[in-house]
Amino acid sequence: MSTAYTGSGRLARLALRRDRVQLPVWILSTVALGAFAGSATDSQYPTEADRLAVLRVAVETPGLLMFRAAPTGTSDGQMTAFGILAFLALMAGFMSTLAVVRHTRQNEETGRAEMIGATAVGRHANLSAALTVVVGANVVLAALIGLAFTGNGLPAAGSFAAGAGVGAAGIAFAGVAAVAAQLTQGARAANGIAATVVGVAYLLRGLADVFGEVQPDGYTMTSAWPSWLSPIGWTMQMRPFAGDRWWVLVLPVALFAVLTAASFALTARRDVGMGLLADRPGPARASAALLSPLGLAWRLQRGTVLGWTVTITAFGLLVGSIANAVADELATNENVTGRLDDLAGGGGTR
Amino acid sequence: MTAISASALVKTFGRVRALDGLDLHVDVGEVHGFLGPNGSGKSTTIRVLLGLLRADAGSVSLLGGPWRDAVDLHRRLAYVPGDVNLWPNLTGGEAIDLFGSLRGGLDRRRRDDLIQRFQLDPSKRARTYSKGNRQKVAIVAAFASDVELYILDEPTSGLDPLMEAAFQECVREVKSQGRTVLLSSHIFSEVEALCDRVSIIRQGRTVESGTLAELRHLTRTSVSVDTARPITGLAELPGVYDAVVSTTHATFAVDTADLNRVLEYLTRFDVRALASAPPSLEELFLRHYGDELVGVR
Ligand SMILES: Nc1ncnc2c1ncn2[C@@H]1O[C@H](COP(=O)(O)OP(=O)(O)OP(=O)(O)O)[C@@H](O)[C@H]1O
Ligand SMILES: [Mg+2]
Repeated sequence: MSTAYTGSGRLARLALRRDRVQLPVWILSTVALGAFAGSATDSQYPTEADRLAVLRVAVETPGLLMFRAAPTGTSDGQMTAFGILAFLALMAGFMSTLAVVRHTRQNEETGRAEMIGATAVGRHANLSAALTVVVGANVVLAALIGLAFTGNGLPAAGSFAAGAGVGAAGIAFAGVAAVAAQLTQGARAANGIAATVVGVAYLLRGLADVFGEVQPDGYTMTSAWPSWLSPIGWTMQMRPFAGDRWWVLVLPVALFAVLTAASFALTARRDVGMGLLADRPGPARASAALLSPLGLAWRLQRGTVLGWTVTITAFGLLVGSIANAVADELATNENVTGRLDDLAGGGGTR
Repeated sequence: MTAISASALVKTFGRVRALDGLDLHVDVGEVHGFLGPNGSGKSTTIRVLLGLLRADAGSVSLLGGPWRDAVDLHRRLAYVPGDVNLWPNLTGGEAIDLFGSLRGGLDRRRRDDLIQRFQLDPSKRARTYSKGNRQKVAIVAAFASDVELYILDEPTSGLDPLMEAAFQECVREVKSQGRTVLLSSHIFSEVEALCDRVSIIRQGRTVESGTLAELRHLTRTSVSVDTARPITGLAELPGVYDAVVSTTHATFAVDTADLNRVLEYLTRFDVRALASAPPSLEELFLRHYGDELVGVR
């Protein structure tokens, strides 16, 4: 047995010690959000008729499908999955990518990995410790979501399928972050890459739902195929409370396995502290603009500013399209007006 | 017995050739100074020795082996970097114990004793430590470990003179126990006080290696002399440099190899007083640094 993993246990305990506040906060707030959204379904849409009405609007409204998901039916569990599950998977994704990068690339960037690497730990110990902790966090998250949904009175099988779907997405994204952490020399850039993948996965799932096919019943949908390209799509494709397709879990687990194998192989091929993408050398002199306070602020923050500008613009376009779609819908569909505000989450649809 | 033997190391970072055929040999039981200007490749060499970087060419053997696996080797050595970064929400004491346990255990009595000697408050969180205090955490963790080899990369950067003295005491202790120390440093007094042998590197290559006495022999001694009769012809002697003569007083530098002949010459003026200073390590250095600036050797 090689010693490449020697010390993983100690480093995993170190990661838990460092994260003893952060990870529980992520997990508990995600679970709380799920539990709250689930219990709110009942009071918002008490009758079958309410639910049918709202879902009939939803399947025709791109913005709603984007931020909710393709509906699978009107039961309590199905309404909960429609309302919040994709968002829980998104949160699991961010929890995972931030934690993996925190315990891998951030250690390398600060030089801590070098001090650790000079002790009797194996080459792969750091990465395997980070992944162990993050996979563990997702398993806990999955179990707690299952318990919380069951506590809301939903069927146990569907509840735990929903939890597993969310946790599995988190695990798949942990693999994504493990690879991202091999690429860049800085933790911020690695976080940026991983978070972008999570965001794109969410968008892909959303678009696949928008372009999905409305079933003859008029209120359930089958997502378009791109849903199968997204770990968050897979969460929904498990169809919790609507068949509980457990076999779909194979996909995130396989993706995690492939990405993890790749990241270990990349770790073995590179030097500690270095990224596979080399840092570009920059200018040797400050430009005139840099020497003004505003210029300096721009130079230091431009990456962040550009990132946010793009994000907010995209968000604005999306919200705009929702508003238009909703307005069209309202013009033709008077009986759902009262429900729309609840569903859009106070997004100002009137 | 050699503790460290590295030959013909080459390491490039893109177009930068950080190590360019570097050699380094350290015997067991010696304190070896590792000197060189900024960017000359000291830290890179140390990272290669530790297996953190892979050399493009050359061979490394530490503590009697080329090691296929670094883990067993790393149990037998301790490393202190020049810039210690700790986990902000761990205390210094926790960090010391962590490094100790990752290295395979540390001597608790010695740990507590070292914490005392370095006046470190182990219950403070690392985010509140000053640079010097973070450095002390790594130093304590290293010297509290029972290892054969200490690899120290500018370990005292940021320490005050009192702590510098405590550090030197630690190095002397481990030396007296027959352990080996590789000490990269820019502090000449520290190297002069501690090191048996030194290697000077420049642009990724070893330019000098030997005992301080041997290195001194390669350079010039400064001499100040008073005589009864006026001194003549001194500046023209081979091996004499920077001679300033004012009748019966002269100061000059002389190639150490020519020292005897020059002193013989001076006796004909009836020497009354003579002071000679061996070149300081700093002068040795400036010579190499200076050459680098002029581009000749
Ligand atoms: N990760 C890296 N990427 C690119 N170049 C590097 C990297 N690490 C070191 N170098 C380059 O290698 C050369 C040697 O650097 P090194 O840190 O070994 O110098 P040093 O002798 O330790 O200097 P100092 O006395 O300042 O600590 C320098 O030119 C440096 O710029
Ligand atoms: Mg250095």
